[in-house]
Amino acid sequence: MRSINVKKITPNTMRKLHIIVIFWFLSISLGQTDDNIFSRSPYLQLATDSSIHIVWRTKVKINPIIRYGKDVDDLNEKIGSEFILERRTADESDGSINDALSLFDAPKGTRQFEARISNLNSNSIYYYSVFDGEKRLTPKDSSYHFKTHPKPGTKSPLYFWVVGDSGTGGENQAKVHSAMRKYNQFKNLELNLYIHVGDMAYTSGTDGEFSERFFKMYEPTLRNTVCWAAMGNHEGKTSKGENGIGPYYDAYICPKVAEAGGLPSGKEAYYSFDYGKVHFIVLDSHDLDRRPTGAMAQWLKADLEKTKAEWLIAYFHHPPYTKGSHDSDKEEQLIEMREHIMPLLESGGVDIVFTGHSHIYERSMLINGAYATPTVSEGVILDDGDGNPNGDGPYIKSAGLVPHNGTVQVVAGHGGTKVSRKGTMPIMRSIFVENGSVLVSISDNVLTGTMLNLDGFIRDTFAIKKEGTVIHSPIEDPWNPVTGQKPIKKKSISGGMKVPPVAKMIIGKNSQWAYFLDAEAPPENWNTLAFNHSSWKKGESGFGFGDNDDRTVLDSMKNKYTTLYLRRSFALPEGVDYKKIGLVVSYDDAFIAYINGNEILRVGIESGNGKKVRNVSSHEAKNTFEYFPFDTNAIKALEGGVNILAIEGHNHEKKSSDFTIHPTLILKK
Amino acid sequence: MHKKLFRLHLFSALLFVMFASHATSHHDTKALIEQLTKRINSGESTAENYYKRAIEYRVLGQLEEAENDLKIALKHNANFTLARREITRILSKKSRHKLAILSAEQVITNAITQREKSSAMILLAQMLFNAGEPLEAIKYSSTAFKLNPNGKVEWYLLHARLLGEIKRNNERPEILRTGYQLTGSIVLRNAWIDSLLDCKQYETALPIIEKELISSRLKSSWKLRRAKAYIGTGKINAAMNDLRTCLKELDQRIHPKNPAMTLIADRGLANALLGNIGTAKNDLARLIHIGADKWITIPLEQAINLIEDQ
Repeated sequence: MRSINVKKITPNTMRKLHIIVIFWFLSISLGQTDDNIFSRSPYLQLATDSSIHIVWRTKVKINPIIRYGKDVDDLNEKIGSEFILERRTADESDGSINDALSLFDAPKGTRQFEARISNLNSNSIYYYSVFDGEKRLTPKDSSYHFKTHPKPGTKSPLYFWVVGDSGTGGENQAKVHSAMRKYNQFKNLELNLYIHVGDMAYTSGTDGEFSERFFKMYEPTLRNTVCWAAMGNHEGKTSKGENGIGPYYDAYICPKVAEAGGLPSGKEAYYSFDYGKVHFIVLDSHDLDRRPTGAMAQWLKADLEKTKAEWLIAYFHHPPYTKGSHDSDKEEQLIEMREHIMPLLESGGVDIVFTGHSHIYERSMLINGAYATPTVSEGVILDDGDGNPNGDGPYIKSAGLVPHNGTVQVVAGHGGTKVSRKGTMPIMRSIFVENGSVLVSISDNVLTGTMLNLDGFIRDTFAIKKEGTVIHSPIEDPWNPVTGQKPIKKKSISGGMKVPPVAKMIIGKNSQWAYFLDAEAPPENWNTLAFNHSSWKKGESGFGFGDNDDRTVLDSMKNKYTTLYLRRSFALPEGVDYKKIGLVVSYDDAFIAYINGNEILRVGIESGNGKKVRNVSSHEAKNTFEYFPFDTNAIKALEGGVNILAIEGHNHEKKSSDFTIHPTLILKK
Repeated sequence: MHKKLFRLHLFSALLFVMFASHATSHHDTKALIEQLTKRINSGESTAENYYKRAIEYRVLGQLEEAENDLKIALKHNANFTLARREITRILSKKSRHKLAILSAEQVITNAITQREKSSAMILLAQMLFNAGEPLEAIKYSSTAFKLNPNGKVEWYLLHARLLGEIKRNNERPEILRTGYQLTGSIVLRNAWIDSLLDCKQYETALPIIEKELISSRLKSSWKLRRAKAYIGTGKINAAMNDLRTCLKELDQRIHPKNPAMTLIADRGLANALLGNIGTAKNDLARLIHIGADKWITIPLEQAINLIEDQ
């Protein structure tokens, strides 16, 4: 530790320091000496379509009663003390209660009340108030309300808040919370639920830390929104997943026997719940066996097999993919969650995974099968777009839950603590080293996620849209988060395949094309849909000279030009299976193909385009055609209406004795 | 400045710095190791600090360093149960089974309450099993249940697996059913059904399997179970149909390059029962290659042997 030079500390500095320290101590102690009867204000837990729990703590004995009703002015229903569970610290218990019911390390005298209200209508708002006998303890305020879940399997929009690693009790945590509340107020939105991915009470998840850094901080939200939590490593210092004992388990009522949907885990440490057509899976990545033979993984497999939801959301603390304050290529829990748990989740059709632990916001592209260590992007990215509905468009998935149809990973460990970054995780599309939280809405077949920073600015938006049947293939050269770009060019290939049986010619042999042959290259946008080629010459394919195999003979090309540019528009037949589309080309010597301005194929040309090509191979057409199936990039380049296929054909050298380019576009059987 | 007032200021400032640094810099694993090392080197060489550093070393897979720190922690405080448990698990992971067993015995000695003792017994049972001593292991898991009849999901699973290991399969259904009734865990319910099938109690298992087949989205696990019951009751054609549809679904669920272990095991088993021994052996070899636990490989190995013997 660095020594302090006393002489350099001026009285003024010392006064300022002292004021800070006093404020700090006051901020800690005020919560403990609050005149309010509640040592934890009422908060909601474990909601279903017909029930909910209201939990609160007092420092003194009371006669607990909950009054509730659908009209804030008429709380016409009542739950009496006989139906409210009262929990105390172990030293105050009468010996009849077991370990699980006594409070772990709450201050002496604490009473925790847990009221279960049942027989409620689904998807309905109720107002409530806590009473001590006849004395009302909570104010007459419409913010004390709850909304029951819709019936499982029914369609209902869902809007929820995702927070991780927030529990400092500090300014940034408060700002993140406040930004969310202001945003919702401005947009007239109300949360249906709140998920916390762990580390909600630094440093050790003690009872006092929970009270100050979680319950007090989020009190206005918790009084009307259920927080469904996953345990973090800091809570794990005092709470144990194996036996469900500790301040974390005192704070939350989690489903053990499938009270809210899913399958019974027999533990509060991991569980699932339903909200309409959305199934949530919550895991303990910290202190339970993460291996496939462990009880948690076995439960997960069974739960995935059972659910018939349309959306599947999983969350836990340790991220399978991160280079924030933690490194998922190097740390035990993170590696095991990736290697053992992710294969199960993706085989069950998971849509999105929320995690924390790493103090950063990282959001992935649409991925599948990225279980290797270290994580690489090659062969695991299904859609490398930004997922933004106003950018590259949402990630598209099949309707329902389809195995290995793509997952988005979100590390939301930026809820309040100091953020940092170790490097760049190659599967990520959006990375922000600043505090914030994530707001997610699901409406019908679209899930939209928004990262809101602590100042209330939206920093990232992504969406997943589910419709029809979507078959993805991994992208060979995905977008790179280090360069922020796609790899500059397609890799060159040396040749195609044997032509398969053809169902339909989209662009047939001897079709008419626009062509351009000049010493100068055409304008830069010559291969795009917007380019007007009306001034170009027209001719029937194939094009070239020598060998007597060309319909449009270009003798002027010999010894003069090496490159011919072709354009032709086409429309796709309705209901076409994009994976059956491919180019069938007879060529001598090489070519580059574009769809709507996007390079989709490069044959026999190492690099460059137009006049700047390098290392053009020699290839004889021999009156034969070769087949080049469309890959994912080519498919992505296609538009619904009119498309442009543009080809630049290259001769190996000017003095070559022949040249041919004869492209067709087919739909194979 | 007045001397007393200065001391008060200095104390406040130091306290602030200490808490502030603690609150902001403890989240990065390597940074935390460095921080703990500094503390240890500057006089705070407490058992607690060595234990904390060991945990971080373990997270990074540095088991040697973790073990060393835990040994020092235990020298400082021989009754430090968390450190004792941690070193037990690390020793077992390093296949130093005898030392792991001795360490687990020490956890039992240090345990005070019934709950602590029963939990320590399970730890020892696990270590004994890892050391290849299931007969010895089951004595301790049985004692754990006597001390704490409620048990935990993991205890029931371990105990039932140990019963299978020592060829007392007929006792498995009862312990698993009890566990299921007490905990509600679906894992124990499914393990109970598997144990019923192993014990040829098809009439009890089949109605539950049929119900699950109707209510499940993904059905391959249940088709596999029903096929076993069908084979046991002589309905070979029906079994073969189930196995074929099971494989069809697994094809969709298994990632071609990076499959989940338990799904490969299911596929291997379906293939073995269909008589596709070569394919089943490939799956077994793959499981062994990727380090699958023996609980995953044993049922597949047994099925292959059984079919080959026929």
